[in-house]
Amino acid sequence: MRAGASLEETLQRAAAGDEAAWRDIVEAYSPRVFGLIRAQCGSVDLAEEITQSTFCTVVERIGRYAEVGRFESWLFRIAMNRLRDEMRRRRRQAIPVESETLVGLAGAGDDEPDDAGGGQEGVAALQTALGRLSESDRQVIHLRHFTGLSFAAIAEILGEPLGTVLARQHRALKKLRQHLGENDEPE
Amino acid sequence: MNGPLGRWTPDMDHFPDQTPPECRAVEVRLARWARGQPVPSGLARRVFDASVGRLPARRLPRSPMLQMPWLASLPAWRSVGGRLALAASIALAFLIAVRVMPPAPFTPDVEMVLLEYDGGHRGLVDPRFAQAEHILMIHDMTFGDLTDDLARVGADLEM
Repeated sequence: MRAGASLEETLQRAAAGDEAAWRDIVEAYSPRVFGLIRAQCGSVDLAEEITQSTFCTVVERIGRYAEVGRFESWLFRIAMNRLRDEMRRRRRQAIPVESETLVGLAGAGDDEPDDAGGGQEGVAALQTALGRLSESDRQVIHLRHFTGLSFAAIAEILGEPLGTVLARQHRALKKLRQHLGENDEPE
Repeated sequence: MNGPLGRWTPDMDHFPDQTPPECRAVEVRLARWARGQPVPSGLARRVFDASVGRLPARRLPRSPMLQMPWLASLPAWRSVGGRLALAASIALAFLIAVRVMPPAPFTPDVEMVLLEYDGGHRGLVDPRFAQAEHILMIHDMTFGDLTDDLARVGADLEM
């Protein structure tokens, strides 16, 4: 991101074919898109593919997009839709889902870093606890923590009222605490 | 945030009141886990190259199901009678579904489009093409998605 340039300006330049602006956008957002999708599906390869597909979609449409403060919602909605489409396609075509993807959907992934609190065991416990949440609760947790979106934006992406999303977050955190043990404290 | 493009920090737009005090430790742990997730090296470059067409987007392996005439191998499809029976079953299921099932609600996407577009009034959509296209694009929907969904609930789309 060039110093002093607003998101709106950067999007306008990208839409006009400025590769530097587009590169800025990709560099700023691709790790977050990748992180969200990887948390959702657990597969690095699939997450990378969907991240690519998301940005290919954005570049196709960015010329018609008018920034009204909703770029992030738009971007992450596309990413979630691409993931949903892929999962639907796999179910429809009965494509065997990689075991790592199944593990990821259940809340555990590969190559986990060991700084989530408590080292590898802490990560594993957190993953297991996440895996015990309902899909909708887990989705809110992933969206909140991997994209850093506001709850209003998350509500928009999921097509749910804001209150529902807040309630899910509240409920999910309580369940996670239960699953992780009552005396869980941050380090 | 470190810039308008939004380098996320965990405190950004935080809703402290929504986190039960006893759950703050869990939230800290989640945030730390999310921040520590590895990103493949060169990801941004590959995504950039793919998005500008310099690198073909990788393709997932094709389903073996698509590579074999699995439908023709089903016993029901081997005879004319079997095909007729299957077609009749599908037609019957469709008729039952149409007569018995209540109209499906709008999907959240269509609901949002209509709310934004028409002030919540269902069944009459103002034909402002540019705005409609933009709203559909924001919701990552095609016009076909919208018309299909509206047709499902019997609404007219006057575009």
